[in-house]
Amino acid sequence: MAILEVKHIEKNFGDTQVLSDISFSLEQGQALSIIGSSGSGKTTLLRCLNFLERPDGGNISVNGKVIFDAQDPATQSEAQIRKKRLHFGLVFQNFNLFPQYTALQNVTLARELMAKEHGGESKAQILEAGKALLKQMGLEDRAGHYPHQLSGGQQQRVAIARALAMRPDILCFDEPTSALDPELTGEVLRVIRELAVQKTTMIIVTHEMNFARDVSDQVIFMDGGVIVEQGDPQQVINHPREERTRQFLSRREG
Amino acid sequence: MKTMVKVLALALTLAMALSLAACGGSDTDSDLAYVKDKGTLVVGMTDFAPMDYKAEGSDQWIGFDADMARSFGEHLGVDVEFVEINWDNKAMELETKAIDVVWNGMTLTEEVKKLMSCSEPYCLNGQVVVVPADQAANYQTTESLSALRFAVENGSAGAEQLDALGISYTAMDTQAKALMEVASGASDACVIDLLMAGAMIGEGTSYPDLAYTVQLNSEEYGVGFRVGSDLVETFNSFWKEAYDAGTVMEVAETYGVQESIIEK
Amino acid sequence: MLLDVTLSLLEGFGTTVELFALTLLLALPLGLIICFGSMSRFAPLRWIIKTVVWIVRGSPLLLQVLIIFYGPGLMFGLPLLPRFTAALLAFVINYACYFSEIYRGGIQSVSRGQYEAGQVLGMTKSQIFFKVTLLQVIKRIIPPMGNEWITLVKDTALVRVISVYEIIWMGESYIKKGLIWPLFYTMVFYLLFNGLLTVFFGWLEKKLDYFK
Repeated sequence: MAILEVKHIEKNFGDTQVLSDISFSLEQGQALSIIGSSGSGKTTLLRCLNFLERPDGGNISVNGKVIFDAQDPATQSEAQIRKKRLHFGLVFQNFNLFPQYTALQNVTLARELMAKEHGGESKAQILEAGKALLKQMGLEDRAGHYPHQLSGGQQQRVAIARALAMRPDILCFDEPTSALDPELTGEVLRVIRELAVQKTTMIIVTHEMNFARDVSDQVIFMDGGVIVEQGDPQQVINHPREERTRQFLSRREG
Repeated sequence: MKTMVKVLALALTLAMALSLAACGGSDTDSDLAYVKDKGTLVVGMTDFAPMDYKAEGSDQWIGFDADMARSFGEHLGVDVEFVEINWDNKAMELETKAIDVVWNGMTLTEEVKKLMSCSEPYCLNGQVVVVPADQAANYQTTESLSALRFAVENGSAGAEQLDALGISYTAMDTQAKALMEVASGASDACVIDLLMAGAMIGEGTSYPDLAYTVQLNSEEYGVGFRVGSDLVETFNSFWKEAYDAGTVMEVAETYGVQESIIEK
Repeated sequence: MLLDVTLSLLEGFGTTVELFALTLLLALPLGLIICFGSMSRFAPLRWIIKTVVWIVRGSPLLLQVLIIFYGPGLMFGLPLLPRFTAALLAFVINYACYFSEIYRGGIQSVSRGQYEAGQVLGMTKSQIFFKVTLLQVIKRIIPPMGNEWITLVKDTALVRVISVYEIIWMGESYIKKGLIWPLFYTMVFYLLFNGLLTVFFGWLEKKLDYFK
């Protein structure tokens, strides 16, 4: 059974339709890349999955349970949304680390607040988990640093650890290397690649075609708010069936 | 948005209508009854020797006016509370009942008579020109004043006199500040009350290096009440009684103003 | 003599400091409420608050003090507030409006991404406000707040128009006794107090210097 099932998602900003009839599914442990030019709706789609935007139509199921249905207001209350969005983690293009907290505090803050609210883990456990995550990101010696003392690549790796700390079912990346200097993208891509090897379920919006092809099990190409083509990465990126996909890919190479 | 504008306009109109109604209706009540009922007569004054002032190291207001005000309070059977006010606001203080009476060597100018109901005059006064003592000999006539730079209390009787003479001046908020102008050399001369000049200028006083020369006019002091107040009548008869009993002159002699008191 | 004058000026300065402290105590929270109102999604509320802020910030504080003290009596024949209370009320309203604009600037300067990062980590709105944005807002509003507090200390001199006996009034009362220097001596009190405020704000700024 698919861990994530998205059906007929629609989204409008005023009179402009930015997402139209988006449907796809994702298996446990797989990585899905979404490619397309800017303005194609891929970031909006990711934001819909994390409920930073509310879809105007369609539904979203995780593990076979409908967690959001545009037709059912009961799934849309603030408290419901807050609980449901924990199925997803999101890594932003601009990191959005909290500047007043150290790297380690950035990773542990939300989990500590959650534990305070619902009980469960002790502070020490959360701290240990946070340290382990930073170590996994190769940042164990940066735990006490504040964001402004870290390079862009390091900040993005902290942001990944912070998202992982909430143990999401699906980890989303919104162009995770677009804000980085070229020489810093490698360290971030390496971390994501490792996560793929460990069978982390991921959705990655990216401009890095080679990376998308190598790391993902499935690729979606979006244009003008619709899914133009989806399937095996080798096929979509190396042998696209659709004319629009071909044009997009050739523009990027040219 | 449009309805908001309408609501606001309506509210403003209503507020103005209410305020007009309130102004029209306030004169009918007895001020005497109001003060007696309250049990306190609030006297608005300024620090103005020898009428109202505090002796060195004391918190008690004394002076000819202060002592007589206390005596008036006794006559009414109420306590007297002195409030030092900003002189520019005296009419507003009265009208809003922040104070009940202005009693502070107040010259009965046309302006004052328009803004309050005043008692019969009780004391004579005049406006005098003050200059540095070493120059006093040069300024003994009204004609000699035109070249001087004057400072004078805003809206005071002295300002009225300068206006009448067509002499321009810098307006200060108190007579004392006008004096300070001359003492510091910022202005050449000022115009203040004769009574005040007598108490504050010349050898053995606060300003030994200043002297007063020309007296520009003579005028009268009175006590100011709210417009239409029945306290005016009460005051006039109290004063006559106190004068006949000798109290007025007795207090006047204490503060050295007996020469200026008006005979009743 | 110097001792006597100092003691009497200190008495006036007590009133000055009391007005300063009470204004802050009331205007700081009120400003936050006005700020939230001015950012409300309910348009009429936003509109009313913006109008009030415009009136209060667009007219002299001196006039507001006069209106609040004399206004009720002049317009409606109502009994007046005590002088200090009226002065305090005028100051609280005036400064709350200024503070609200400072808060708004501070809150709006925190990037959307900070709220969104909090949201996707499952934080509640109040957790995001208190744990994520508040300190960033505080850091950003400290410099304008410092200016405003120092202006407030000096603005208290205005209340002598309604005969609240603050330090300048006390200083001026010596002029009538022929002493001019006490008025200028009051400056020492202002300078010392504002010096303390400057040191305090400098310390706060430094304290929050650890993040950018």
